[in-house]
Order: sequence, then structure tokens, then C-alpha cells
Amino acid sequence: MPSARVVKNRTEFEGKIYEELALVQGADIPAWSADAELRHVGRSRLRVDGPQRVSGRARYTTDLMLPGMLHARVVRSPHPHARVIRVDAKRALALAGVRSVVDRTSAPELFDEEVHYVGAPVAVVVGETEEIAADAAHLVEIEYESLPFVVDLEEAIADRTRVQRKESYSRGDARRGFREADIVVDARYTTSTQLHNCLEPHGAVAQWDGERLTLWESTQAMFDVRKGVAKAIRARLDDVRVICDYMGGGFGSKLGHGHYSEIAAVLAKRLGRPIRCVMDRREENLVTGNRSATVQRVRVGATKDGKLTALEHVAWSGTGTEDGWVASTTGPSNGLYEVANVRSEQFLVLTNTGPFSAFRAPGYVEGTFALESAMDELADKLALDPLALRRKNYAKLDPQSGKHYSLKRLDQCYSRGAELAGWSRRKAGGTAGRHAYLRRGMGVSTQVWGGGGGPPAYATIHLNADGTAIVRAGLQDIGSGTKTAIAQIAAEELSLPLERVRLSIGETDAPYGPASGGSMTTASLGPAVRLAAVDVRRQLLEVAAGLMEVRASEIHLTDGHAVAGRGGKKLALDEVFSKLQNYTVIGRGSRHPNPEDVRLRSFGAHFAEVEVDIRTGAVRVLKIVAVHQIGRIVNPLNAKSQVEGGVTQALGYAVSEGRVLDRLSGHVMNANLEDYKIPTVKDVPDIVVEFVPDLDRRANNLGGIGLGEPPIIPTAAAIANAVANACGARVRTLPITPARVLEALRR
Amino acid sequence: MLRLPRFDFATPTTAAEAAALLADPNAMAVAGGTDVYPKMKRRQFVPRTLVSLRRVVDGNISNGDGVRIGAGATLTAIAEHALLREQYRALADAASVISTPQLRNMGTLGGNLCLDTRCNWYDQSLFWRKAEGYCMKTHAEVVCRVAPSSARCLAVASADTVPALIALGATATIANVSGSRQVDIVELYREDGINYLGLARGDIVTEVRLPPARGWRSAYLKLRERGAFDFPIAGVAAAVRREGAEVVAARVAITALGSSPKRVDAASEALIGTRLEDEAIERAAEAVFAAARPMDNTSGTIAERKRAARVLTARTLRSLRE
Repeated sequence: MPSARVVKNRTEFEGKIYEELALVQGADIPAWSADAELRHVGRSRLRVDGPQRVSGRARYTTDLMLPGMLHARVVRSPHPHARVIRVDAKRALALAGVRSVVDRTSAPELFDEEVHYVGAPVAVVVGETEEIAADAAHLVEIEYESLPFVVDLEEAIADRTRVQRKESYSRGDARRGFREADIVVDARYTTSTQLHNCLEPHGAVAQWDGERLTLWESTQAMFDVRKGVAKAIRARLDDVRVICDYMGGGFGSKLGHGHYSEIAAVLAKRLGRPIRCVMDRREENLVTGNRSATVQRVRVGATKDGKLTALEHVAWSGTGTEDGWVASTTGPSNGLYEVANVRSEQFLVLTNTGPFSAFRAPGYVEGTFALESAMDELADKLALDPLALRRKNYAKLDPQSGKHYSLKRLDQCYSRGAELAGWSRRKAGGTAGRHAYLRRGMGVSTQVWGGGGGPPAYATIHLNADGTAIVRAGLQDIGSGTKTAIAQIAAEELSLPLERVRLSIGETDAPYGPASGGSMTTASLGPAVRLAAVDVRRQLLEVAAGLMEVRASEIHLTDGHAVAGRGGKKLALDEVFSKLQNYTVIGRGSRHPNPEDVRLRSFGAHFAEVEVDIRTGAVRVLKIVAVHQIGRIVNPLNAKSQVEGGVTQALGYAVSEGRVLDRLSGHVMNANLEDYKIPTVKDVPDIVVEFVPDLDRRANNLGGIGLGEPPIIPTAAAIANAVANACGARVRTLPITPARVLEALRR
Repeated sequence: MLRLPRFDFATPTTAAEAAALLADPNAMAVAGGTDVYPKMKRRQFVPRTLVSLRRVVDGNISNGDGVRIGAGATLTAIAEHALLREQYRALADAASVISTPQLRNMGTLGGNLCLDTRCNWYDQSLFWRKAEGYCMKTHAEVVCRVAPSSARCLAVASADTVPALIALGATATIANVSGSRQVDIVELYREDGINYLGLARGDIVTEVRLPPARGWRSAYLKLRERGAFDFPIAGVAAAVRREGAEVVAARVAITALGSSPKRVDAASEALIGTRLEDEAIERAAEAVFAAARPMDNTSGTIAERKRAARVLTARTLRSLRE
């Protein structure tokens, strides 16, 4: 067994860089070369669990029904800020089928005395059915003392006690840079709160067996749920087993355990029966997280010929009641362009609304809208082609660290995207539509993100006597198709057909695996799986060599046979396996650290074409071209789906989605799928997807990094820029509604 | 978790029986239930008895002297009906753009005709309405929250099929304990968000009759925030009958631009005797613009919806030219 050692590693997660120690074993191998003949990796494969998912056989956390299971429903505050004076559960407890009502007096670990947003938990009702619990929840009488509150972001920004400076960055001298500028764009942008609305709601089911807790949870991070719940209930890690088998989507709000997890765990123990606590759609929209609304000020200075001299970006993000962290809205301004003088500040603003959480490229989505809109405003003032302006300020080296990138092909994303979008048709001032009142325009925007992944991540693979393989890893597939990609990587290195590789994942009684967030699952775990497969292959060759009486170095695996180099002696693997009988070949692999000398980042460019009706302000997005660079694509079909999903989510953010708050009551007015306008299939335009084929060979032994978040980052700015190009209406507020277009046209 | 209140469910088999049950002020009729049940869950209304019309009205679509459609016909059946699509396009179009396929499979024509009026204020959760002290539509003693000085409720007529039926000159058959009568569709509605239907307690819409369509062409267009799922925030239906190139009869009707659907006769008059030239269409569109009285109580804005009424009218009429 190779010995373990501790190394330093840098991982970029959700727009921030974390430096930590990592434990690794053995040595890494280089990425497959560009001309390697691969049978699985790099080829489109249908999802290994597709039939289960589409036929309804897949079992999600919310589907789980255990014998004797009870249901918990949370009683929530109708006040945005209040003190809970008294909870009277008499009437609720009198309802047949109600087993328990718990509030702060009986469970101080679960509830606070003060509530800080509409929807904050005050009590929980446990009943024999979910319906009984829901009915009883209405019967719990609660006396509140209401307290002053603010739900509006702009109002909160004006109140200094609600604002905290969380991040600041500078290089060069921004003031000098602006003095050197011939032209300065100074603009204010605002974005709306976006709600996640994962198809599968947040929730958990808890069951105790003596001192051991099994927790089924819809999560992106089983190990973080285990850690968080173990800490909350003061249990040992080996006493908590978290299971996440099939999962119906997560965009950052399922990266840790929830209040529902604690409710299920604590009450299941108290009542001696399994407890299910799953959110309904309204709760999804009130309490499970959101993308911060922002107010941003961007100043860009440039010379007459378009060279940036200074960039300043100040962002205020409404985090609701979350005062621990804030997303890096200024990240794109800090790191995208070659500009000597940069200054940025990131403020967190507290309001009496549900806490924000990570949401697919948190901060970068909001910040890219502001930065890339400002770049277009600058291009307009300079009478430059927006693409030429971006090329002029292209950063060959990472502007923050001065390092080379492991791979940067943004220039190719621009040129290929321009070709696919027909950018040469773009005219300053837009083009005419079929009628005088229809204007057409095109816009471009840039994406930068991390997603390189990193250690720790481990995998083992063992072979069965019939030549099938089982990959075991601490992985959850949140619906993104990771399972299929991992199977492809293992099948590749084992020279096995895909259907002979099975995955044993989705629970924490396994070596640690990464969270499915930060676009890092495949880039973190994939290389470990590959090394485990290499380990299996090495052992298998040794066995075959023994049977064939040649040296292991002289044979290779191909087409289910071990073949000796010269003589061409062949041995069917089936035969090797049958000789092995119940002996198990076990391969192990771990993720090695990222290279120190280069920066791992993904890049991309989106091009939007829109048609604007200047009479009604209606915007029709006709086409989005998305070209991304992430190095090797493990499964092109899956990657294309990932981009289409990201663009669709970005389209909603750009033109139709936004949480509506009632300033007077603090209530969310569209906490449902009818009034919160997610695009329907009829609203999604033609989406053209392409990837730059170059490999990112320095990144890891796959030669590629993550794609989960990049496709949502640049779309909104591309659409805003296209609208401005079409009709001159520069909308600096998302979503770009017809009313805002009409207002901008009047300016 | 939204929960239905408790209620009795009656399943009469004749219109007379249903009408008798509906004479109770605490009873309410239900057909497909796609609007009734969600609203009961949100407590917009809490009837003690729901009277199912499933066995009372039929869903047949039959062709004779014109077309007869049972009030129980699903929106899907209407949207997909070959004859309706060809000769009564406005109706098939309107049915096809309601909500989503699942809801069209359940929702009925009769249900759409009697669809409750909608309002940003009224269509909210009980949680919020209660905190704000309700509004006129559910509590007569309270003001209209959209326009506190308004003497009446301003909730919006939101049925897509109604303007189509008005444009097509349809009549509805209304049954009650004492028999049945025919009513011109447009006569069914009142400019009042609360008493929006000109029906008496116990009246049931059992069928819709469309006159022969010879020489007529029709179409319907709606404005909504997305390409599916959403109620109209403006809707225009138009039908014209031409002899040669000349328009000899026309009807234009609008929805979601006030508390009742309206026939805009000024628009029809602007079209009769013309050849649907651009200028004639423009005049008709202008008449619709003038008749549209949106209030700020749906999604979108007043200006957007009013302008859209003009645009949709022009677009609808242009589609009738070929």
C-alpha cells in the first residue's frame, strides 16, 4: 500500500480560494493525451440512471415512506421581526393523529426567542400524516411582540448598522488610473433576488437504531450534512450515516444540513419513530436560500483607443438574515481583464428576509451582469466594437496572481462564438426587424469561474468474479449526470463496457467525497476514480501475467483480453476472472493537489440575439450562443445539457424572475411557481452550444475541469447588451421587464 | 402545505337536481376544478358544499346548424377539435393557450366561462390577506385595495375563451330549476369584480352554441408574461365575414382589460365596408386601445397592457387577411 502524505493545496470554491492541507497517497499520472484513443471518455453517453429517473422508479428523499414514520410540519412566523411571547399548542394537540408539538420551551436547541424574517421557524408539529400535521400547524396559537424591521435592500443600505464590509481588493492605484482615463463610465446596476426552486424540495428523513442515526437527505454535500448534524446533536461521525441516493436538483442551497435535518434527527430520537420533514413549495421560496439582490456601482476608465486604465466595483448584496458570508460579486472585476488599477469592495447588507445561500456561481452571476454591461457602455462611448474592446483588454496572465493559466482559450470562445452567432451582422444602433417597431440587436458577455476542484476525494474500485466492477465513492449525483461521467472514467481505464461498471455512491459510510458545488465534483472525484481504476488494472495485469507466464510489463488490456506484446498471446479476461473466483481485486485512488504554479479557471463567452418591440417593451430572446472552455469534456451530451440548463436559468434571471417583497408586511408575494416566473419550454430560445476542444492537461489527470456553474454566468449581460444594441434602451436593472425597457426608451 | 378545507361533495345527475343544490348560498359548482380547488386551498372561498357538474353537463362537440359544445368539454378537446380549429379558430386558439396541458386536460369550457375574476391583491395567500385585513372581494365591509376610492371591485376578467366566443357570436344555454334559456355570451358578464356573472343562484351553464361559420374567419391572441402557464393580462379576439375582399360583418372582443370581457363595437364598425387595409386595421386597433381600461392589479403595467391591446388587435386582424 502506498504511504500517505500531507500536502498544501489551493482550491477555488464558489468564487473564493481556499488553501488547506490535503492527504494524498501514491503518485498521480498525466492526463490522457489529445490523441489517446479513448472508448468512453469524451464520447456522448446516455445517463446510466436515465431510465429510472424518467420512469418514476428512482426513489428520492421526498418519496421515502418508512414503517411507523411520522411527519413534521413547521409553524412559521408571519412577522418579519418579532419576539415570541407564548406558544399555545392545546388546540393542535387535541386534533386526532397529532403526536407532538414542540417549541422553544420544549426544544431550545431548535428555536430562537426572536424571529427575524417571515417564515422563520417558531414551532413544529408532528403528526401521523403530513396532512394532519399541516392542519394542526394552523391550530397552534402564537403570541408575538412585533419589532421594527426593514426588508427593502436600498432602505437597508441607508442604515449603517445593517451594512458590513466583507471583502476589499485593490491593485495599482485606481485614482491615478481614472486620472489617466480619457473616458469614464460610471453606472449603477441593480439585480433582483433569484429563488432556487429545485424540483425536489429540501428535506430529510431520520431514523434511529439505538445510538445510530440514519438520515436520508436531499443534499449536495452528504459529508457536510453528517458533520453539521453530528455537531448539532453531539454525536460521533460514525454514529451518523447520511444517505442521498437520487436527488432532484441543487443549486447551492443544499450545501449543508438544514433546520429540517435537525428537526427530523432530534424529534425522531425523542419520539422513537422515524420522522420526515420535507419543505413545501412556499417554504422553498421563503426559507431555503436565494441569490442576493444587489446594488452595484461600476466605474471603468479607458484611453481613447479602449485600453482600460482603471476599474472600480462596489457591491452591496442583500443577504437577508445571513451575517456570516456574502458572495463575491466583485470577483469578475478583480480577475477578468488586464487592467493595472483596480479597486473593489463587497458589502453585506442585512434585511429581515429569508437568509441567502449559494446559488449557481454566487456573486459572479450578479457581478458579471454589472461589469459586462459597463464594458458595453464603454464600447458605445468609444464607438468600438464590444468584442474588440474585450480583446483589447485580454488578460494573458491571471491579473490577480500574475500566474499563467493552466489553460485559457477565451479568445477562441470569442471568435468561435462570433462565428456561430453571426456577429458580423451586428451593427451599432441595431438592425431593423420585420416592422418598423421591431428592433433587433446582438450582445456579448464573458464568463470567468473556477471549478478546478481539488483534494480530498477518494475512490475504491473492486472487481467481481464475473468481470464487473463496482466503484465506491462518497459521491452524490444531484441530477447533473456525475454518475455517468464517473462510470465512463472507470470503464475507460478498466477497458470494460459501460454497463459492466456499477456505482455504489450516495452515502457517508464511504471515504470522503467532495460536495457537489463549485463546479468541482467531476474535477475532484474523477481523477481519484481514474487512479483507482489504474490500480485495479495494474493488479489485474499481474494476475494475467502470472497465468500467461509473462512479465506484467509486457501485456496490456484490450477488448476484454490481456494481450502479450510481441507473441500476441491472448487471454480472455473472463478466464482471468474465473480463476480469481471470490478473491477481490481492490483498487484505490485519491485526488492529488492542484498545480502550484498555474491558475485553474474556466472561460466562456455568450452571444445573445434579441428582438425588441419598442411599442410594448417586449423582449424576445431569439438565440443564445454559448462557447465554453473547460478542457476535456467527459460526456459531450451531458455537457451540452448542463449548458442548456444554465442558460435557461440565466434567461429567467435576465427577463422574468425576481422575488417580490411587500415592504409593509415583509411577506414574499410570489412564493409559488405560478407567480414566480421561471421560463417555460415555450420561452427558451435556440441555444447553440460548443466547447473549445483543447485539453487542460495541467489541471488534473482528466485534463478538464467543471462546468456546473459557468453557463449561468454571462447570459444576463449578453441579453442586456443585445437589448441596448437593438433599441438604445440600456436597462441596468434585472429582470429586464417590458416596463423597464419602455422606461429606458423614454430616457 | 396548502390544505383544502372540509366540504361536502354532491354528485347530482340532472340539471334540476344540481340547480336545487346550488340554491344554497353556501354551495358552489365545480367542473374541472383547476381554479376552484387552488382557490379553496388559499381560502379565497370556502363553500360548504361543492356540487359536481360532471354528471350534469356533457362534453360533446356536435356539428349541425352551427356547433354545439357541451359545457363539460375539456379545453384540450376544444383545442384539438379539427372542425373548431378550421372554422372557429379563435376558440380553438384561445383554448390552446390556457395554462398548461395538464390543466387543459381537466379544465372545461363551462368552467372557463365562469372563471373567477383575478387580482394581484385577491389572489394571494390567506396568510398575507389576513395580515393586511382582506379586501372588498371577500369582505364587503372592506375597501378595494387596488383603488380605495372605487365603489366596486376591480378584479379582472381572465378567461381566454370568452372573447373568442363573443367574437364568434356564441350563445350559452343556462339551466335552472324552472327550465333553460339561451343567452348571448356577452350578456353573461357584468363590469364588477365580485358579481361578474349575470347568473342567478342555481343557474348552470350547460352548453355553448356557435352559429354557422360560413364566410367567417377568426383568431385570438393574448399577452402574458411567459409562453405558457400564465393567465392573460390582455387578450383580443376578432372575427370577420367577407364577401369577396370586403368585410361585411365583424366582431372584436377583449379580455383581461377590465372586470368584464367586452365587445368593442367601434372596432367592428371601423372594419365593416373595408378590405382590411392597414388603415382600417389601425382604426380598429385604436378603438380597442380606447376601450381597454386596465388597472394596476395584474402583472405587467397599465401602459404595457394598454399598448399591447392595440398591438394584439392589429396582429389578430392582419392574420385574418390571407
